[in-house]
Amino acid sequence: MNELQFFVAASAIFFAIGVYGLLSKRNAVRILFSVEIIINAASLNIAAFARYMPYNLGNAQSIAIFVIALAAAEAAAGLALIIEAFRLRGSVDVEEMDELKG
Amino acid sequence: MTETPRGDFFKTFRIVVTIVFLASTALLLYMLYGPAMSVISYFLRDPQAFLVDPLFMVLIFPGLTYAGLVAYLAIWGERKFAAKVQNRVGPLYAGALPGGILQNIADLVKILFKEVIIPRDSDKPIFILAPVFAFIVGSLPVVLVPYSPTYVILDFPVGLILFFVFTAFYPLVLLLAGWSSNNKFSFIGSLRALYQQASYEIPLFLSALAPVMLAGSLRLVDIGSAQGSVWFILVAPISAIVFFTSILAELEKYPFDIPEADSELVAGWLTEYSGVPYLLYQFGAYIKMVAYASLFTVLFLGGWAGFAFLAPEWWMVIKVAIVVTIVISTRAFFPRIRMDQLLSAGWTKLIPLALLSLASLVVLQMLGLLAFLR
Amino acid sequence: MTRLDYLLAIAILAFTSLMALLALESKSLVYGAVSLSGFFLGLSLFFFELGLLYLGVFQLLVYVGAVSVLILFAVMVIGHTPRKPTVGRFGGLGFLGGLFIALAAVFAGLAMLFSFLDLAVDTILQSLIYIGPVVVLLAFAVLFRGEPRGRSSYRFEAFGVLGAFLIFGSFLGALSYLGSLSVFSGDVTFSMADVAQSLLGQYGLLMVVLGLLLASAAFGAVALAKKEKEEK
Repeated sequence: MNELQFFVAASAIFFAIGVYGLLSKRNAVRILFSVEIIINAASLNIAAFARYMPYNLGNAQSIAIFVIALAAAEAAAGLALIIEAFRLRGSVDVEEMDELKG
Repeated sequence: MTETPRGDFFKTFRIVVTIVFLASTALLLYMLYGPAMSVISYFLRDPQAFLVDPLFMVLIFPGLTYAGLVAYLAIWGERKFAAKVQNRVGPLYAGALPGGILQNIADLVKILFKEVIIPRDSDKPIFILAPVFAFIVGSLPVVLVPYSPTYVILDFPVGLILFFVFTAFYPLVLLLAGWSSNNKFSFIGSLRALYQQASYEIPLFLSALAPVMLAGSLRLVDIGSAQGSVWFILVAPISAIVFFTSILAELEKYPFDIPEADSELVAGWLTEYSGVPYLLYQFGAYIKMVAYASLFTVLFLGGWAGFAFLAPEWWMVIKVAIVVTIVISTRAFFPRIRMDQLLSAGWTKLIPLALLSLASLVVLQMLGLLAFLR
Repeated sequence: MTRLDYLLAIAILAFTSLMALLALESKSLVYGAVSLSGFFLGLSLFFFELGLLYLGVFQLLVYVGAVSVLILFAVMVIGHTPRKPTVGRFGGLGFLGGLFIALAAVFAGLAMLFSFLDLAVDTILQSLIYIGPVVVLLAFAVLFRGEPRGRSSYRFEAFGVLGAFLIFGSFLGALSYLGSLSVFSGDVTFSMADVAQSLLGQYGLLMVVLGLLLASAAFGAVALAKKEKEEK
């Protein structure tokens, strides 16, 4: 297996771990952790292709930088929503969040 | 002591154990003689090469021994300086050397013998690991700062940003330390320390951009080498002042001493720590000070540039000593400012100043006045 | 790559996967948040390994320096949830075990098939890399219960494992295709000027928009957090 395969396989492993967490966890914070893991796996994928098929190394790093910054913004917004939901309902169990009202 | 029937056994047992111990020590020394002599001869064969060997750089200069020595002298110097300014005497009586310079060793011995108290309902793994990580994160930046183009342990192409990465790690460790103490006052103290350190990261990064702009590189060796003709503090003095103030805030020195304030919130986020964990925190903070002082010297004070009668490393050591003296003198000269004054100073006063300095540098560069630097 | 480089790469992969799994499966949310920052650290080690130095330090600065603190704050606000007693703790284990064995057999068959068709690769190594992390994943899923259980089946975990298998299996085809490409395996020197030119030149407008987006996200988060106090 060549080196690009190794890094893409690593990114796939992290993606799979993130999907497992996303589908099987009841705690909203754990689901947010899984989303962060998935986003980081995607940026690792971009970085691996940037290194081993370099047409413009600066551009690829910039794209990955945008991904990181966007993920940070999304984490902030998601956490604010989770805290608000926790204040309203008293728990962060997504099984109990089945109403659109409130 | 009465002779028990087993007394003879103990006597022979002690004799046998002594003989076995001496014989095994002799055997070990004989076995290690070859490798030990080869290691020593490797280092002594070529003293010139030994002085720039990476292991020497990590262990002695500018690594562990040098940073530890400067931190040691800084602790003593801080207490002595503050004492003299306050018309006291300071450390004087410990040990035979004059001036109380061995006071630190006495304190070290005392701390080593103190009982390490772990609160009952605290989160034990995090409580024990937080001081270790604080020490690691505090002392790693020493690796990045060059003392001359050859005396740098890790010459990273983005070395300056990696230094700031360690600055950014520290609030996380503070938060974990305060939370794991299971004490509301510790937690509030760690939150305040976190606000302070996170707020002053931005003026730190912005004001460090000025030397980067002037030198044209993020490598610390390049920034130091670009100051051969003029020190950057003369070209960008406002940035230097902002950077120095941010350093004082990051190190929790006066006047930004709220997190460690003795008269408020007990000892802040350090309340529950005693003994060796406390030692790790404090000594890590002083080694962090050495790292920041060295960074300030490289960025603004010309690094290793100086007259030719001294080697560049010596110039660096002298300048770092001066900067460390200024940093520890703040303890004697400044009162402590309030938390809201602290935060407003960081956000509303230092950031515009840093941006103003950067803008003025851009104007100077466009006018072509900075051509003498290249 | 030399043997030491290979070992180092495997070690970083193992560390990062372990941190990711711990982030999801650890008993307390705070340990999970700390493991998540360990995962971010491991990922930045990947970036350093790839020679993308600026990306690595950027990841460290943003994720471990800022996002981890944010997540830790939120976790501390949410606090310790009282754990309900677990009922039917091992009910459904047979179902999960059977699912795992069936899927692992399919997986092993696929790996053998791919390595049989791709004659230039190392069979055992490929199978290990395809099956190994899934084994670890499932072992964690079965052994380390991080969530309180009030029911007697593991259908959520089964869905999760199934989804993970599907995602990873869909990567397999891409991976074997990548094996036939000729990749650029020379040395890549890092140049900060390239990154700066692309960030500020080609993507300059995007940077401005990104700044506005981050500012609005910060404002929104603060507004959401403050609303409760004003209502009271």
